Amino acid sequence: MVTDPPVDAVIVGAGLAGGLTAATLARAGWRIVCLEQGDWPDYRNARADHPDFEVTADRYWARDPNVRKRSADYPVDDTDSDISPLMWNGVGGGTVLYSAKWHRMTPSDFRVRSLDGVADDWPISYEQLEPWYVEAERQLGVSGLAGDPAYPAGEGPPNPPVPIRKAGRLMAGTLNEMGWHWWPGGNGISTTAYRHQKPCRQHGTCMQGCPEGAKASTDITHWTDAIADGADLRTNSRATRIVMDGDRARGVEYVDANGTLHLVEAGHVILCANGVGTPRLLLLSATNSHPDGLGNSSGLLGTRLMMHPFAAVAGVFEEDLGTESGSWGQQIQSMQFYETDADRGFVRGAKWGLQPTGGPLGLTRSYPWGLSSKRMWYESFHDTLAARLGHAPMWSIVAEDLPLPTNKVTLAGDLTDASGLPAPKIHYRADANSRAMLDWHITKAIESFEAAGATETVVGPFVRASGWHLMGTARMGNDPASSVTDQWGRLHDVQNIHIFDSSTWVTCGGVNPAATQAALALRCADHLLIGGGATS
Amino acid sequence: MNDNLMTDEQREAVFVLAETLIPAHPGAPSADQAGLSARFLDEFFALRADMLPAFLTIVDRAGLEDTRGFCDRLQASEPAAFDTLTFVIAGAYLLSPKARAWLGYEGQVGEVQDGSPQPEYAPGGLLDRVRERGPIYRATPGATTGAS
Repeated sequence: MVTDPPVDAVIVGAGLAGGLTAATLARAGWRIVCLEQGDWPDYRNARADHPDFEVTADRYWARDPNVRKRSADYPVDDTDSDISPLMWNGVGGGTVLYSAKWHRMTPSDFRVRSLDGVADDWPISYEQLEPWYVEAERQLGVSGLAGDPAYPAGEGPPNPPVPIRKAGRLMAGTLNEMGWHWWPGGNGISTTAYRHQKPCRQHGTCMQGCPEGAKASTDITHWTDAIADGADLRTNSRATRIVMDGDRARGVEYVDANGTLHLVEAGHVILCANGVGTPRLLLLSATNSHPDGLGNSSGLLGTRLMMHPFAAVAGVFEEDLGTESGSWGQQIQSMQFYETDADRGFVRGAKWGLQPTGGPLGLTRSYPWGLSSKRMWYESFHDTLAARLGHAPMWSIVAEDLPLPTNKVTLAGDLTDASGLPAPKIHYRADANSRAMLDWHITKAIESFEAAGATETVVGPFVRASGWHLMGTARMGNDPASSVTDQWGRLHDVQNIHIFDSSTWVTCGGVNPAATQAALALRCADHLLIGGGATS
Repeated sequence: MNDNLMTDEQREAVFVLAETLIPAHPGAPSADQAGLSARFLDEFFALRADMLPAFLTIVDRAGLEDTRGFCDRLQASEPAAFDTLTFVIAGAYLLSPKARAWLGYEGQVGEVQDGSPQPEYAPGGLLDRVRERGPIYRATPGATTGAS
């Protein structure tokens, strides 16, 4: 084994949390090594401007690691799960592929037990996190508009909203008539030339490689600066375990692209490997003193996995609404039914985002179109396709799931990655509350499209390939008996191991998680700086 | 045409499958009329060679008779295989300029924007109604600010 020179902190994972953390610490003069199992995204594969875009999009940008099967990926045993986890293992992490819908959680999201009598309250409040929401939006060039009545008043994002387009204008007017909330879409997509980002050109290809560099992925927004400030980003470097020395972490062991085993000694170990990768590494790092994995004296490590059950409803209109393109992302959003209403038969809620449906090949796919009353093939092909192309906005519905102890990440017994390390196994069942919530929201989304004059509504029901959001598997809290980390992401059990990714979430809200993940990473990194700890 | 891509028998089966899934239509080209078998199937697999083995496995099962029945049964009993079959056929079809011209589809061309103010969000615009209804969030219990 090669023992590398010691540093102040070693970060595992170069995605959203890892990128922001590395940039923050490096800017403050910390010596940083970041271990990233993948490589930089190759934007030569961002083919939005080419006729083959839809044919080639999933060749490089596939979202399921079990489909992608690159050397950077680890397999995931999802045979015992209703949802398959999705991720991008490379610089930028999930932000390379995310749709970039950008939402803060609301005040009630941090007080679920107090307000709704389920799950738990967070040890922090919206008001405590709010300054870091603002900072995250500034760093990531977020676009949107301040003043959304679904949130407390405060500072908004730095860039103006993406164009509302015809579809957004239609549905905004309809929701006004219905008396329902809507607001210009918040997006991690720049609408201006902003720092390293260029203005979005609305190709509608955000999840298959942004060709502009407009989307806020940390390979673009943070890593160039972090490296200029001295951060040592080691790509194709897979962390294999955290090495302990007494009651503290000594550093992280990793294997490089040549198969050589290294040890990076560090004053602090910071995990930013997502809600599956982080508990996996802690479980893989079990020792005689920590036989159930590091940080697991509570027995909660890996449990309470939340993945945001997802559904979609498309409306087909006679009018050409230009839905083949547009920021994807969302043109408008609605949180009309976000807060709990006991009369609905479930607790908590969901957010809707109105988005395009893209080019013609996507409109022939089974999701969400498989349940359409219009036949796709044979003599119906041309009429059905022409009716959809450009004429079909879609509500994406992100539903909150509650943190259940039975939904969890463990180590697979007989499945390993290319380095011989046990793969994670996902145990996840969408409970009755989640399913009732999705069904109810689908009905209301249909109602909105019908009110707008849709000739057809098509429901994409709860779908398996939707596990973009991986949260809750190392929850934060004040009591070491009932939580894995404190509110700053520090393990209760090992004082120099930290988790800055969404593993620490107590509950998950019903909004896309990037904003909260970014804000928490910045808050935790700032706290680490205040507390000192740099050895240089 | 790449002679090594598939056998003559397989090409014939693809031709029949494609014409079944995307037949002639008034004013719109069928798969063959768009040049699928003559050109764009090969172009598709030049881009997506990774999909060829799975596709040929399906084609080899199809035969030349009752292809519609075969497709219906495949969709009902093996939806993933049907998705593969139709992704290739529709994907190759939509590479054709004839097909794209019929649809009026120029690709994901996008549209330049510069973040200019949008009238919908200015006073007097669509957002007025939303603002007039006021806050809809539940405040943090005990917080000094909030709606309810």
